[in-house]
Amino acid sequence: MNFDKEQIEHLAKLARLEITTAEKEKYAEQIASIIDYFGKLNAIDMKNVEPLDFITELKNVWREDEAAQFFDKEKTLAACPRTRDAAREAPELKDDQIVVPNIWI
Amino acid sequence: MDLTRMTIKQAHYGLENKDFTCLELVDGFLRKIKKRNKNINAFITIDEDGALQAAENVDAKIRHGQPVGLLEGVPVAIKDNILVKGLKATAGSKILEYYVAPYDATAIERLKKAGVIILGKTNMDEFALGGSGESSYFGATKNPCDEKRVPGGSSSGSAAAVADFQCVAGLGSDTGGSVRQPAGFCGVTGLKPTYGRVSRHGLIAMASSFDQIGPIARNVEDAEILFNEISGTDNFDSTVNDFSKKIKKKNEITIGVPKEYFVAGMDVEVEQKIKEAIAVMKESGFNIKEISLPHADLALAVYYILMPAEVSSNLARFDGVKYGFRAEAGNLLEQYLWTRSIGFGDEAKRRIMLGTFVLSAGYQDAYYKKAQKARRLIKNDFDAAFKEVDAILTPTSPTPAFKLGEKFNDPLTMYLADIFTVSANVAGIPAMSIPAGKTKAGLPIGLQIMANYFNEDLIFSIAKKFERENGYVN
Repeated sequence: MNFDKEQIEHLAKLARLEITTAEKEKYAEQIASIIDYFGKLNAIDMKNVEPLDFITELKNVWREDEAAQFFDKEKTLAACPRTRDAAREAPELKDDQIVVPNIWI
Repeated sequence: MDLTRMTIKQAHYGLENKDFTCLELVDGFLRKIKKRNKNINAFITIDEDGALQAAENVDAKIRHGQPVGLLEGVPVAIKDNILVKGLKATAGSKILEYYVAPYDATAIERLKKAGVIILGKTNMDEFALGGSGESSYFGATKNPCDEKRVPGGSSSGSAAAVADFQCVAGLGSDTGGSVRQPAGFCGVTGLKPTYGRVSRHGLIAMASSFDQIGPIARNVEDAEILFNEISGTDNFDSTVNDFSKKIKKKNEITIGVPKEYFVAGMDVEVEQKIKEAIAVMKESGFNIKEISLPHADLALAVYYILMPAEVSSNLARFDGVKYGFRAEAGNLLEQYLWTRSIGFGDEAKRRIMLGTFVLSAGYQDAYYKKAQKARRLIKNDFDAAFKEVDAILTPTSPTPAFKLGEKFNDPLTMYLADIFTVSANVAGIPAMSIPAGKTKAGLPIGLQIMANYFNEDLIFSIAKKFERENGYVN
C-alpha cells in the first residue's frame, strides 16, 4: 500500500499528534510496510465468520452502583508536586473543575 | 550468606527459623540493586525507605512470636505500569514521568495483604509497547546474561531483575508476550494467565482485550504462589472470572506440538533445544502428538491490527488535562498536540497512528473487522486443538536475545519476534515460558507451554515435572 505524507498528516490530526516533516516520511514508510504485512488476512475467505469482539463468555456482569469515597481530595492534591515546572504541576482547579486553555484557536 | 538467591519458600522458612532477619534480606537485595542498576537499569524507582520500614514491621512480628505467612517479608519488583500507591507509576514514559499512583492496583493490594515487600518499580518499554526493553524513556534495560543484548520486553526490568537476583520475584504484564518473551530471553519463568483471571484494575491499560498481569520468577512454584495470590474476581474489573473449579483433573496428559511453529527462520539452536525438551517431556510420561493450528500465521497480523486500535483508544486519555506532563499552550488543541508529541516516544506514536488508521472511516472493514473475524478463527483453532490434546508446547521466541540496537530501526522485524507468543493473547488462553536450556554462547532459550482457558494448574504441573526432569536451569 502506498502511504504518503498526506495520509500521515490525516492520522496525526485524528490522533492529536504533531509530527515533523522528517518524521512524516519515516512513519509513512514504516506504517506502509506494516500495513502490507496485513495483506495476509486477504488470503482467507472470512465471509461467513462471526467477528470475535469479546473473549470471555461473560455477559451482564453488574454490581450495585453505590457511591463511595474513593479518594480524599485534599490528600490526593497534596500529593501532586507543586512547582513552576509545567511537567510536574497538578492541574489548576476552580470550584472543583479543571481549568484548561481556551478552545478557540 | 548471600540472601539474594532464595526462592519464596526458602525466604519464608529462613525468616521463620530466624536464620536471618527480614531487614537483612531486604537490605541484601537493595544493595544488589544499587550495585547493578547502572549496568542493568532494571529499576526506575527504588523504594528503599518503604521496603526497609516494611521489613522492620515483619521482624517485629517475628520477634513477638507471631506467625508469618508464606509471602510475608518476600521482596518483589513491580513493573512500572502497575500502580503502587504513593510510588511513581511512569509506564516507562515521559508523559507520566512524575505521576504518583493515588491507589494500589488490585493485584498489589492482594500482595500487600499477603505481606510482600515491594523493592521498587521496574523499567519497561513505554506503555508496554515493545519487545526488547529499548523503548523506555528511562533508557534501555540490559540482559543480565549478556549486557550487550536486550532482556526482551515489555516487562524488561522485572525479568532482568529476577534473572539478576535483584529480587525474589516480580510482576509484569503481558499483552502479546511481554511477560513470556523477556522471561525466555533472561532465563527465568513467566506466566500469562487466562484473560480475565487477574484483575486489570490499577494496570495502566495498553490493549484492554489482551492485557493480563503475570508473575515472573526463578522457578515455577514461585510463579504459582504469586499467581494464586493475585488472581480472582474483583469488583473493579468486570472481565475477571474463574471457571477453574469446573475442570476435571486427568491422569494421562497429551501435549500437542503444532507443526506451524516449526518453520524456517527459527534459530537452529532454539529448534534443537525445543526438540530436546519435547523428548524430555515424552520420557517424563507425557504423550506427544503433532497437531495443526491452521491459522497460526495470521495471529501476528491480527494482533498488530487489533492491539494498536485499542492502544490508540487507551492512550487518548494522556492529553495533559488531568494528570501527567502538560505542555504550555495558548489553546486546548495545541495543548493536546504538544503534550502528546513531546510526551510520547516513537513507538507509542507509531502504534497510535496505526490504530487510528485501522479504525478510521473507510478502512475499518478492510482491517479492523477482518482482524476480528480472523481472531475468531484463531480461537477456533485452539478450541479444536484442546479437544485432541491437553497442552501445547512451542518455543517462546524464534531466536535467543538479540543485540541492543539490532532490530530497533525496523519495527516490522521487531514485531515478528512476537510470532510465537501473540496467539495466546489473541485467543485469551494461559501460557507460560520456562527455561529450556542455553545456546552454546550461554544465551537462555525459553519453552512455552499453553493450555486451555483456566488450566493454569495443568501448566504448573507440566512445567514442574519438566523442571525436575531437565534439571533446574537458572
